[in-house]
Formats: sequence, C-alpha cells, structure tokens
Amino acid sequence: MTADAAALDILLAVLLVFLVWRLLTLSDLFKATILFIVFGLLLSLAWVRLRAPDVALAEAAIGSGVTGALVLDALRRLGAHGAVDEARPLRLNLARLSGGLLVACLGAILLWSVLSLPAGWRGLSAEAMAAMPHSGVTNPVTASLLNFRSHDTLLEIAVLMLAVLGVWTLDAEPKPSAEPAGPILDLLVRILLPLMVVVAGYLLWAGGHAPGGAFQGAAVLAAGGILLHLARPFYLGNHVIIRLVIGFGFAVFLAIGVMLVVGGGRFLEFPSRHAGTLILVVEAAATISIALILLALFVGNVREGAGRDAP
Amino acid sequence: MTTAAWMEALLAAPLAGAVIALISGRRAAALVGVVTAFATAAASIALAFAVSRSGVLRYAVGGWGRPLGIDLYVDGLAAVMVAITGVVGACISVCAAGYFAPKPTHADLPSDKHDRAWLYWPLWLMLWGGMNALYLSADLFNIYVTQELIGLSGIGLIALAGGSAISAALRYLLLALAGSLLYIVGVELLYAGYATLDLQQLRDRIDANPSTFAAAALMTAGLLAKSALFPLHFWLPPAHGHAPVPVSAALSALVIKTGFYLVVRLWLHVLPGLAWAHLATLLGVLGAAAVFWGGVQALMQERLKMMVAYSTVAQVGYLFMLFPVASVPEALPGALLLAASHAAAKAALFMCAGSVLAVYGHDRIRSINGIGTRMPLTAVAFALSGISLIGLPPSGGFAGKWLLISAAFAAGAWWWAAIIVLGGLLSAVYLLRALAFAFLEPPIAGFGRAPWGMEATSLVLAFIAVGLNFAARPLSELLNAGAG
Amino acid sequence: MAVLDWLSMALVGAGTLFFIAGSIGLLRLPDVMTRLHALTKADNVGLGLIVLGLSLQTSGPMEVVRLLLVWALALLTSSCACYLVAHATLQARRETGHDS
Repeated sequence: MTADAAALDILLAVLLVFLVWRLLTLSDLFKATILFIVFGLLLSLAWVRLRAPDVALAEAAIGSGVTGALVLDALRRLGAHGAVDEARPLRLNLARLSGGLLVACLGAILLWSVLSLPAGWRGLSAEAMAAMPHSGVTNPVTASLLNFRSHDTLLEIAVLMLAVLGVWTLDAEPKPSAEPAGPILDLLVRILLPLMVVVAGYLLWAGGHAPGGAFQGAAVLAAGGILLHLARPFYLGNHVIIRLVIGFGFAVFLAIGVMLVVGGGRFLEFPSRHAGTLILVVEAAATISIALILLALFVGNVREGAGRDAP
Repeated sequence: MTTAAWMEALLAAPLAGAVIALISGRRAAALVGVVTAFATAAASIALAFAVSRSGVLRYAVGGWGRPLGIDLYVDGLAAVMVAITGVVGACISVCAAGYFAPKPTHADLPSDKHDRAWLYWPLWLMLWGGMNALYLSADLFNIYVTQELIGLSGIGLIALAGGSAISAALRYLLLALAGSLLYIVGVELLYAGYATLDLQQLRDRIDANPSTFAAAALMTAGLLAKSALFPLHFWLPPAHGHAPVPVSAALSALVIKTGFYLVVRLWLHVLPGLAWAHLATLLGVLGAAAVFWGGVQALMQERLKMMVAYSTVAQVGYLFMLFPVASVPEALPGALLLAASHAAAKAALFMCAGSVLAVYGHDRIRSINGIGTRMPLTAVAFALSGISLIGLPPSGGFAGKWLLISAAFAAGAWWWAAIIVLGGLLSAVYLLRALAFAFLEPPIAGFGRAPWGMEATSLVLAFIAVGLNFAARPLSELLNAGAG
Repeated sequence: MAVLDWLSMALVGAGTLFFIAGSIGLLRLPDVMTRLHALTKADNVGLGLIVLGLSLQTSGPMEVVRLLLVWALALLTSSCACYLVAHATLQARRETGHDS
C-alpha cells in the first residue's frame, strides 16, 4: 500500500469514529441525523477502499440514502418537541459507566481475537472462483448471493417483507397535512425519475457481471419513489395489488426453488445452463418487490378515512 | 417420501403459506394458515419417523455443498425440535383461527385492531418457517438469517395486540438486535479463523485459540439473551404477557427453545473440543437462579398471563441445567423431554389464560373464582398442564425431570437434583395458588361466552403434556438414530 | 501529452480552489442565503472545472460524455436543492420574523 493510500485510510477511520461520537452525543437530533447520513457516505467510501464495491453501493443507497430519509421523516413526524433529545448530552452515571466498560471489554476482546487470526487469509474465495463457471454469472458477489448462498437471500427477502408487515400491524397515523412542494421540485422529479428507473434497470442488469444487483437497483428505484412522494404525497395502504407486488419477488424465488425440486433437482439448485436466466428472473422480480417494500416503509401506515385502513 | 423430501416440504410449505396468506389478505388468510399449519405439522411428524428409520441426512441446498454452499442437516435433535414445533404449532393455529376471527370476542384485542388481525397469518407462518429453517440448518450464517426471520415476525406478532404491547415489542426488537449482533460477530470470527460456516467442518477444524474462545463467548451471550436465561430475561414477561394469546403461546412455548437449541448445538456438537467445564457450571448456576427468580416472581404476579410468562423464565432455567451434567447420556433426552412438555403445557396455560380473559374480561388471579364450575374444560387443562410443569407423575415434565435428576446423580452432582426438586415445589406453590382461587370459591354471575376452540385446544395440549410421560424411550431412540 | 497533463492539473487545481472557497464561505458567511450563494456557485463551477480537467485524461469520447452527464446532474440537483432551501428559509422568516 502506498503512503497516500494509507493516509486516506487513516483519515477515513478517524473521521468515522469522530462522526459516530458526535452523532451519539449531539442533543440536536436533526444535526445528528445529518451526521448519520454523512457517516453512511463515508462508510461506503471505506467499503470502496476495502475493494467491496457492491457493499459500497448498497451502503450508499440503503444505509445512507433510504435509511437517512426514513430517520429524517421520523424526526419530522416527531415535530418540534422531538427534535431535541433532553437526555443529551450524555452525563456519566453508573449504568452508562458500566455499559461503557462492557463495550470497552468487548472491543478489547475483538481486537485481541482479530490480531490472533492467521495472516494472508483467503476465506472461501478460491472455492468460489473455481465454481464461478457453473454459476451462470461472472460477478462473484452475485454468484454468492443468488446461487451459492441463495437460501440466505431467499430468507433475507422474507425478512424485508416482514418489515412491511410489522409496519402494518401498528396503528395507522392520520394523514399529515402536506402541501405540494412547488414547481421546482416537480420539475426535478420529472427529470430525475425516468433517469432513476433507467439506473435501477442498469444496476439490475449489471449485477450479473459487475457491481450491482437487485438490492442496489431496488434502492435507487425506491429513492425515486420517495422523491415522488416528497413532491406529491401519496399513500399506499395494503390494497391487494400492493400486497401482490410486495410478495411477488419472494413468491417467484420460492416457486423457482420448488419447481427445481419437482423437476428432479435439489431445492434452489439452478441447472448450470439456465442459471444466468433464472438469476435474472429472480433478481428482476426481487427488485420490484424490494423497491416497493422500501417505499412502503418510508410512506408508512397512513389512514385514508376515519377508523379504517387504506382500501 | 424420503427424509430429503420432508425437509424440502418443511422449509417451503410454511414460507409458501405465508406469502399466499399475505397476498390473499383478510378474506382467506385464516384458511390458508390453518391448511398450511396442518400440512407442516404432518410433515414434521413424518420427518421424525423418516429420521428414526433411516438416520441422519445432509442436504446441499442449491447442490453446491459445504463450505461454499449451505447445507441442511437433520439428526435426532433437529427432528425432535421440528416435531415439537409442528405439533404445538398446529394446536396454536387452531386456537388462533378462533382468536383472530373477524368478530371481536376478546377483551385484550381492541376492536380497531380487527381490521389488521389477518396479518397474524403471514407473520405466524413466517415465524414457523424460520424455526424450521433454523433447526434444519447446518450453516452458522444461515442460522443468523433464520433468527432474523424469527425475531422480526415475533415483533410484528406482539405488536398486533396494540397499546402497551408496542413498547414491549420494541424492547424485544432491541434485545433481538443486540443478541443477533453478538452472534454474528462470533460467526465472523469463526469464519475468519476456519474459512467455513458449516457446523460439522467447524467441529473437525476447531482448536483452542483466543479468537475461537471469543467467538464462542459472544455467540453464547447473544443466544442466552434470546432464550431469556436469567439475568437476561427482563424483556420476556412484558413481551409474552402483553402479546395476543396465540402469540404468547408461540413465543413462550416455541421461540424461546430456538436459543436453547442453538446453545446445545454449539457446545455439544460444534465446540466439544474446547474445555468448557466452567462455562457449563455457569450455565447451570444461571439456570438454577432462573428457576428461583422466575418462580418467586410468578408467585407475586397479580395477572394470570404475567404469572404464566414468569413461569417461562423459571422453566428455561431447568433446560440450562442440562449443561453441567451433559456428559451423562440421560441428560439430553431429559432436557428435550422437558422442553417438549413445557412447550405443550405452556401453550395450554396461555390458552387457559386467554379463555379466562374472554369469559371474565380480565385475568386478575384474585377474581377468577368459579372457573372450576363455569369453565370445566379450561380448569382441567390448567390442572393437567400444571401437573406437567410442576413435574408430578404421570407427565412429560415428570419424565424429563426424572431423567435430568438421574443424570445429576450419575454425574455425582446431587445439588442439581435438589434444585430441580425445589424448583418443582416452587412452581407447585404458584400454580396451586391460582388453582385455589379457581376451584374453592363459589361461582359468580358470568360475562362472556367461552371460546370453545381455545378451550378444546388447551385441553388437547394439556393431554399431550401429560402423555409425554411415555415418550422418554422413543425420544432417546430418535436421538440415537444413525448417530456417529 | 505533457501539455495536456499540465492543463488538466491546472483545471482540477482551480476547481479545488473553488471548492475550498465554497467551504470557507459555508463556514464564515453570516446567514443561510449568503451561504447558499457561496456553496452552489462554488460547487457548480468547481465541479465543472474538475470535470473539464478530467475530460482531458479520458480514453475516448464516451467517457467525456459520462463525465459531462455527472456534471449536468449535479448542476440540476444542486440548483433545485438551493431553491428548496431558500424557499424553506423564506417561509420560516415569514413565520417567525427572523432568520432561523
């Protein structure tokens, strides 16, 4: 590693720790939220430095973008009272001191065990590279997520679905009085939204051979939806079409897995010849569902009329 | 059908049911849910028979095989846990079909919540699918994902009750996230050290170095928090006490056991190479503390559901007394039998509490007089499941405790046996206190109509808890099926 | 080639200077409007200069187009964001009577 690369890494690491400290101790929650978004962006830079561009994309889009928008929106709904956390800045007391000591011990244990690991570690990359020709794609990350460890990804999509179900179980909020944001934002949306759809499609397609894939594409698509929602507020409810689209990605993935069993193979065993196509189908379906899931999380559970859920 | 086919069915059926229930919505969700529940329960029992007939099986999902892919693995232990989940899960589904029916009949489910009651079905089937996937998985990271599935669906299910259940659900969310974080850090360390996530391969490669100890400690701490072992039980009573009845039953009877199962898997099957006698003693001591603390707290509760919830804190304690005596062959079947009978008895007790809530409109222990004459089915179910929880013969609780006590004597550690007996006495005190109010006082003019579905299901579960008295031998045989 | 490299460096350096000026302005100027002024002007021109500088280093016209697109998008979003912030500030001023 060259000296300037090392300097960049050290600067990043110091900045990340500093940001976390600031955002945990600031009493102004709005400022803390902005720092959280900045933290997400710097963290995605750190992923780039670790040569994990797929993770960096996901971090920037979901960790910083969509999550940041969610936190900002939550802050807005809390109103003026919620913007300042009375319990901050943190004063030292016995509980915090013992908590801090516990975390320090944990950190020490982690440091110690990481330092005791063997040098020159390769993990399973050799095995993964050897299996790549049969995976149907050329991007090893996509091969891992959608073929080698597709079972994990299937369940992860279910977890995302559960998040929306969880939001639906909560009491619906009355519709906030939102006015359209004006002609400039409308114009921005009109230009950006088609671009974002194209970018999402590109990311989905690129996932097969380059950094990208369903999660990243879906995050961009959801960001487009959020932008639209900010310009012209709309509400989703849990209408049958919404439920269908939310369940679609998981249903397609599971159905393909089961059909492969019916066809005489094992669960989720993509035949090498069709693996590329099947992965693209699964990813396309998942992109649509995940995008709507993320958007539904942002839009939240809003009551249309009095005492009833959205139709 | 073969073992592999039953495993595929157990993974896919509840998940498919969940997504179909989600899409079909209010009108058909319950129907889809009950059908899926019975199919899954049948597959669970079939899997147990298949394993006892043809032994353990390893199944490479996606055909890649470890260490690159994810393997499923079923042995006697996994088959027993899946079967417990299947049988109790089917009973809970029957109870839920009545409880979450369109008409508001239950005091603890506000009427404006009935619009959303159907969400129970996708959430519950996801929870079930997650538990099956957890028991059948042989991959540490895959197990992490299944825990997320279980945790998140559990939170949604608790939140269905609304009101004060929301804060309990959020506390459970934070706890589950903290536990998962500890677990996943441990998994990363093991993967970094041994370049595999497969349980069997880890067992073969493990050696006693600092990173392995740290990983084992972190994972165990996370799992203990999820299985609510004293002193990490604080989140359990509010969550289980405020959730809707079928949800309390599922969480207390089944979900808690996933953490216990993983600790067993980890220490008995993956890390037996580490010298862990001190940790085993610590787990036993925490278990003993849980038995007493949970018992005393249960005794002090005013509400029936909260008493039943604190009783779970105590019952979890017995399970962890397995570890100090785990070298004795009777110990594991004993603990599993205890887990099975607790699952049945605890689900039954929560349903009894639910029936009382429905009829009386409250569950204050002091004012439930006359249950014995007004609701004989519920009273009998309460008494029978109480017998199993206390550990009186004949019951699954008795047979399980008997095996654990024999194991304690065989290991030359009589004090564990003494704690088990004393804990039984303590649970007798709090359960009989509630029963005394139910039987001895004269009946008063009643209020609600008895939910017959819930009453009948609780009785069935109570009979199962008692009948497990005779399950010790088949259970031991299943555990030894194809072992080696 | 060397001339191109020098030109690139000069352009990128000038762009960086604009960024620095914008950042100092953001920190030192008294209220929202003047800060916005410093920030957006500096960002747009600074980024434009950097894009120009980098365009001299590309291997083909497609890359130049991509760089220009990045600049165009940044221009679009930053000017819209500028408008939105200014609009919100004006509204806040009208409501509270002073700059917030």
